[in-house]
Amino acid sequence: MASAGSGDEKAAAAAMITLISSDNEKFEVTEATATLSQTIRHMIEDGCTDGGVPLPNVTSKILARVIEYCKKHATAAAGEEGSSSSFSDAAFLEVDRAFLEELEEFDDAFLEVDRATLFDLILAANYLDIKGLLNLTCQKVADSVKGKTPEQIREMYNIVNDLTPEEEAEIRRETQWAFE
Amino acid sequence: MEGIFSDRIPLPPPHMDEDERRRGGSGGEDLISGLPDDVLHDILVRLGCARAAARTSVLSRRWRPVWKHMPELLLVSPSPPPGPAPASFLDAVDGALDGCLSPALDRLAISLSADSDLRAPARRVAPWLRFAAERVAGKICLIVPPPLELPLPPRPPAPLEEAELELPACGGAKAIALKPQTTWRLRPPPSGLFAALTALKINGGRMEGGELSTLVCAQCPRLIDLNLSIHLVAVADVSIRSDSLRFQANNTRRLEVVAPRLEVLTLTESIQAHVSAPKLAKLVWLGGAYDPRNHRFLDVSRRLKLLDIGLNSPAPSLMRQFDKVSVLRIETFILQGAAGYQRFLNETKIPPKCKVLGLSLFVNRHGLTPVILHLLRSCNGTRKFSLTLFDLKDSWTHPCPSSCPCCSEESHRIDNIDLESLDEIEINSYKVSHKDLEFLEMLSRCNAKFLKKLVINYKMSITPPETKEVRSMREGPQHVPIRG
Repeated sequence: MASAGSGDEKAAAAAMITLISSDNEKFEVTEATATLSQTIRHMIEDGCTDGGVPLPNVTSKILARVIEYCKKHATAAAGEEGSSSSFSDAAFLEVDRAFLEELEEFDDAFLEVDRATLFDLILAANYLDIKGLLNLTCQKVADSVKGKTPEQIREMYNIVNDLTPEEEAEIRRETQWAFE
Repeated sequence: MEGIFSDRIPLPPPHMDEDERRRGGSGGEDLISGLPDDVLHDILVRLGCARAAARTSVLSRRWRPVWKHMPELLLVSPSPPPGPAPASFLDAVDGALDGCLSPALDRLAISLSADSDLRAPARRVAPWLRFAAERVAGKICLIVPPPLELPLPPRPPAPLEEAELELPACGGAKAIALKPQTTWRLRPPPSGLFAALTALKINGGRMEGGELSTLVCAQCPRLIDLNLSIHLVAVADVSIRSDSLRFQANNTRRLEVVAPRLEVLTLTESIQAHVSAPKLAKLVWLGGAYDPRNHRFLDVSRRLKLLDIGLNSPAPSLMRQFDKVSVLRIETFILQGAAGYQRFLNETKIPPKCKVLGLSLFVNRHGLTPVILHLLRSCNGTRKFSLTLFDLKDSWTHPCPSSCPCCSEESHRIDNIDLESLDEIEINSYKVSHKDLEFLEMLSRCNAKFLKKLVINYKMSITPPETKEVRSMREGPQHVPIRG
């Protein structure tokens, strides 16, 4: 009996992954949460997660936010799987809709961050290969740029125009079709 | 383990003070330009417009080449007003394709809105297809519809151009959707393969029967999904090979479908068809009157997952081709008068056994109750009956005369119907009166205890108050409430 118990514990422990941030902080997460990151999924498949996964590109502050995102979306993914078999049932559809709405609200609130954090999240999502988080954050940047003139975009994102007037005139000639 | 962390992504500058990084406004750090190229591509694609993406090339030296390597190009003409002069849109497409340096695009979508004054002559469109053939490894979508014909055009519309549009062999594309102008003749290449193509949709335009057959049978070896709605330039025979087919081509004399893996077939024209499809599971018949002499199903199973018979497609003998169908859907409009009703009775006399019976009915002067009782009587063993009602009664002020068979006492008998297996009734109604739901009350009065579930969805109308009988049927935990 005792050995069976320790076996279960072992299985439970095996399903936990330790992520180590660039400033050496450790985060324990479930495998389901961690594998939203394709990068970490591949490491688990290759068996290189013993002793924790060092993430030298991600600070503890950003990693905490990324984990928050993954936890929420891992639960959502599990929920979707569970209900897909009875999708035609009106009651389940109702539940799914409520769940999706909640997820959307979570995503909106999640994006309420300052610009530096947003770009750190993009870099982390790209590095960890978390498709949903990358889509979400890139869409936020794209939405902020939509309908803006190049001058407005430069100002908004502190982009220094290092083109000479001649170069800029040349580019505008080349891409005149885009400005008409 | 080191190798897993590629050096492709630059580390955030560690020396920088957090507060310094947070500082916004002028003098703040340019964080966006430091993003890796693929992330910038992702952001530019999400602008949903290749023109907007290309405008970022004047931001700085860093940005100049970025848009040219985007994996997707989306060019949609704006509907005026406001918007640029229509002709400049054609130039914009040329400019975008000219500037693009991506060797293998995931998606190229060019769409001219139908409500603009814009005309794209075939000679302007042909180079776009040639570009697509060389450079797209994913989806090609090209929509060049003729301008909408407004009821009162400000000026008489110019006659549509009759031209040929060459469709070159697209070796890399996985999916192609084309909507050429109706008068254009689409010409597939005399040789060459669409080696990766799995889905092809051509909506509009003309083709030659032989060229069409060669294209889908010989030049698209991996084709799974074919959706055609075209005119043939001359009366011709057509052969098809595909796993899923929706076929509508005027001028087809005979359609030959020899498809060992075909599972879904939609036929929309009344033509001669010889179908050999041993794996056929779903058949959607929108082809008008079915005639067993002209429409031959050879080597097709007598059991289907779905048989869907569209409006004005009387097909009683088509139904007799099949013994068992999981879902039988019938869309019908019963003609006025005794003869019309008798015809409906004959056409639906011996349907195949089905688990789910779906009926979309345009309600007119004929009573609804006898229609439904007739179908329940014919489809013994049905578990679910799904009814969608469209009301046309406004134009019919008088009910049927008593001489119509729909008024006979016999047609209102319910005691000769076996309702034991009926678990569920679903009603989707766009407008319906109490009188129409009389059959529910009849069911509730007989042995309606069998019903596990009753769903009524009222759409676009005020929910009528429930009658006592309907309420009593809805008792029990499994009954889903009526939704307004």
